[in-house]
Formats: sequence, C-alpha cells, structure tokens
Amino acid sequence: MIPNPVIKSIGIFIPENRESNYNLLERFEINEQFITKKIGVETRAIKDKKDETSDLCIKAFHDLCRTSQIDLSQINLLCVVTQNPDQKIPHTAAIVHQKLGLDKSCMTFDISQGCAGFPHGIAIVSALMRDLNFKNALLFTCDPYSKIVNPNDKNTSLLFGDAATATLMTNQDDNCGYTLVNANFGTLQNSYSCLTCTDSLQMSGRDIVSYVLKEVPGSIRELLLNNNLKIQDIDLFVLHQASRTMVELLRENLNVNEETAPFEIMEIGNTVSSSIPIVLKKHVDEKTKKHILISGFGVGFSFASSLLKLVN
Amino acid sequence: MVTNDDILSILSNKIRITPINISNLVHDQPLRLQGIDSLDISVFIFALEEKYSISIPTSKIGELLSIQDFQSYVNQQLAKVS
Repeated sequence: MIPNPVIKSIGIFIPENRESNYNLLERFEINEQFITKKIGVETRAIKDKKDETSDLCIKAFHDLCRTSQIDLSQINLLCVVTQNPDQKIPHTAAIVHQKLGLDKSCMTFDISQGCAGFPHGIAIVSALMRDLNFKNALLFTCDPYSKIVNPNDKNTSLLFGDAATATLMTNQDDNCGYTLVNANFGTLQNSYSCLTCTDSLQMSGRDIVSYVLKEVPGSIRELLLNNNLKIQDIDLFVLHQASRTMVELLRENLNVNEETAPFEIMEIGNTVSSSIPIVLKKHVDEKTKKHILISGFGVGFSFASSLLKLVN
Repeated sequence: MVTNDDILSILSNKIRITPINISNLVHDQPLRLQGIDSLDISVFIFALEEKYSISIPTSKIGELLSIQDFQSYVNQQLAKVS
C-alpha cells in the first residue's frame, strides 16, 4: 500500500529589514491602538529590492536544510504558490528549479492562489504524490506584496509583509509528520473585486471582513463534521494571519482561546500565502499536536480549510 | 420598525477595544468622526446584515455614515420584503 505523503519539515525566510507602522500614524490619521489592537502589525518585513520571489524561495530552502537532510536529486515535484512571480513567463517554479539544480525529471508548476494558497498547495501536492508515487516534493509559498503595495494606500500599506516558506513533503515507508486527512475549498460568487492588482494592490477591507465571517467558520465546521470531529478535538488552529481583528473574530466564533488559535504577526505583517506555514513551522518541528486545522482565506474571495493529522 | 437604539445596541456589541461611550454618540453625525474606526464599522455592517437578513452592498457604504443613515437604510430594506 502506498503511504500517505506527510509534511516533514518547513523552512522559512523573513527579511531582516522592518518598516514601522508607528511612522505612519500621522500620514494615515490613526492611533497606536489601531496598530496594536486592531490590525496587530507594528512592523512589516520588507525584502531587499534586488531580491526576486525565487531568491526568497531559495533563502527559505536554506532554512529548510537546517532541519532536514535533502537529496536534491530525489526531488520529484517543485511547486511555488505565488501571485507575484519573478516575471510573467516562465513559471517561478522553473526558476527555483534551476537555482537549486534539480533533476530534469522533476515536475515544476506554480499555483496562482493568495491567502488560501498553502492549503491549496498541500492538497494538490499530496494528491499528485499519491497518484504518481512521488517520494519527495518541495512546496514553496512567496508573495512579496511590497512589490505591489501603494505606500499611500492606508488599506494595504499598514498590513502586508514579505516572506517565503519551503515545505518538504515526503512519501516514504518511515513517514513521520503531518498528513492531509481532508479539506474543503470554496470561491464566492461576485467577490473577486475584494482584492485585486492591476497597477497596485486594491483591497476592500469591508468586503473581506464580511466574506470571512460568512464563509470561513462554516467551512471549518463542515470539515470537522465530515470527519466526525468537534472543535475541542483540534489541538491547534492555524488561521491565515490576516489581521489581529480577523483572527480574534474567528476565535470568538469558534470559541477557542489564543493558545489554540494563535496570532503571531506583530513584527512581520500579513505575509499572504506564507502566513500559515510560518506559524505551522514550529509545530511541525515539535510534532506534539495530534490534530491541526489550517484555514486560509482572501484573494478570490477563495477559502480553504484542511485537517492535518500527526503520523509517527 | 428598527430604532436608533436597536442600531446602537448592535454597534455597542461589535466595537472592539475602542473606548467609545455609545450614549454620547450623535445620531446624525458620521461614526468615523466620532472615533469609530474602519474595522469596527466593517464588523458592525456585517452584524447588521446578519441580524436583519439584509445585504448592504459596498457601493452603498459611502452613503451610510451615521446611526441615522444605518437606521433608515435597514428600515427601507425591511419594508421591501414585508
């Protein structure tokens, strides 16, 4: 029997450079409380201007190598979740493939998804690994919004930070890690204008708040119901780190505490597709939580919730 | 008929952390000018939609500024379905 692929380890890269939201109080006519208690972002991680998306992915890969021994010749699949590619053509995965020097038999593709990108990526990569009997895969996330945020736009310039993650998924007999048990997905009709980018990022915060509260708790509860689990059975909820308010509203709705559904982006900002794996990293390293539920939501308006289970 | 007090009651439940005395709010003045921020207003609008089973399109948001604006709009929408 083919084993289920598992999330073995996660590497992250967060640029050291920070921009402070406290420097923007006057420009946007906001107070400190709005920064700390509402959006929950004091500083944003901003990448070096010369670094492309693929460069950030490579830096996340280097972090991954600190915890995992990786034989590059044995990587069968490389996927990059991004809506901010190095360039329109080729796919960023091909550039990362070249920079890592992977085997020519390795499948490469990008997934165009935003804040729900990581659960989409886990589902797609897991399915391909099972169906094609791939042994090792690398799933990257990277959406450096500093490339597209208009610094004069209050809605977006206080919120987003740059980061990249690299997740190693394996499908071996001695698998130990988190396997995907089940997932659900959705995209709301007539909603895509909530977050768009032609020249620069445009966001309707009001629409996003409304869509999240309407769709995400139901999506999570449906996933639990379909797997005969209750909210209390979940050891950790890793919710997309959209803003402090958004995470707190979901916590209240689900009736879970801060420890069970953490908010951890005060110093880096909302890193879009990377926000879930950044929080997940230490738990994948520790392997103490039996059931973890991850939920991403945003661009599209798309949402995805996935149930992960510890296998050891 | 939905009253200003009904609207205020929903608003007071949805204001997060912001130290606002609801009883001091002037009903015909924009909420934003009385210390209620954009995030609170977004959550408040969602609560109104849920409570009264109505939809408040984003295109309308610019016109709905005060407690009175919201009260009138909710009553108009409820009148349409009754």
